[in-house]
Amino acid sequence: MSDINAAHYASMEPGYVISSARYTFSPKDVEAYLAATEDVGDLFGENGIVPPMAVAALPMGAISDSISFPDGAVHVSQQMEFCDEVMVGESVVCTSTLLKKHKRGPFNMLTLGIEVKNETETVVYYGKTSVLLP
Amino acid sequence: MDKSGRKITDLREGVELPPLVKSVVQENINRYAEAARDFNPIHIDEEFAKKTPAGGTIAHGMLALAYVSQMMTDAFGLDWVAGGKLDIRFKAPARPGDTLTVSGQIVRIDSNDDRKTVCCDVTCVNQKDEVVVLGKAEVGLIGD
Repeated sequence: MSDINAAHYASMEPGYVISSARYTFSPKDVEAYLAATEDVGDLFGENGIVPPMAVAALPMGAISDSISFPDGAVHVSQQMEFCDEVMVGESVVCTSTLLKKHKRGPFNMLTLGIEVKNETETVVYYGKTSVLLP
Repeated sequence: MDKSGRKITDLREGVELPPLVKSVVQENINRYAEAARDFNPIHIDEEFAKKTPAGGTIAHGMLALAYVSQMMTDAFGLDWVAGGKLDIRFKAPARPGDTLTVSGQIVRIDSNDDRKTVCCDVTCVNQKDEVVVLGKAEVGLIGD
């Protein structure tokens, strides 16, 4: 994918902050996420807890917007840790950083770190994403 | 189900988690793109996706992981939501028309003081039995 506003990964060095943005989850956001994933469980929604994967998904969208990946880029692996609940109406700050850039055979591999903090600066989500680039 | 939302009661090695079956449809991929604000055209633009190595639209990898997380939430409730860990590899893309089956099995239970950590193997396969997602999940159980 190419986006004229996105940075090319070749110009990034480890430590580069790819995106940092604040989000607040509304009841509609949670409803939309549950509809998209056809999650009919009774844990989310009425009790005000945001599904953890809805939290984890947001930085991925920001990464997709912020880096110009070539066609054929593949999301190969994902580590994630849900450290605490996020409640509807709570603001979180999602920050993604380039951790590592290396070669794997003829391909380039990027490892990205993702951290989501709540209003008290507590980490509520941590993730590590690896993307293989042709 | 207890107050934590945990439905699984038989906690021992070898126990299989209740599986989850999901149909992948383009409409849900589009909805997920909206919900996750991830509009990469490989997921939502058929004409664009046809010209890429994928040969057509594919679901967001995170959508497949959402199904894995849903299975873990169904089994472990709030313990998963505020204490779950996932370490997976994407082995194949999920495409519109696929039926995904997510399954998991308890492979180890570590006990440390008053806390148990349940370790599971998790997989997501399509209707052809091709592995889409493969990995491990861990969840700490509070008060067990």
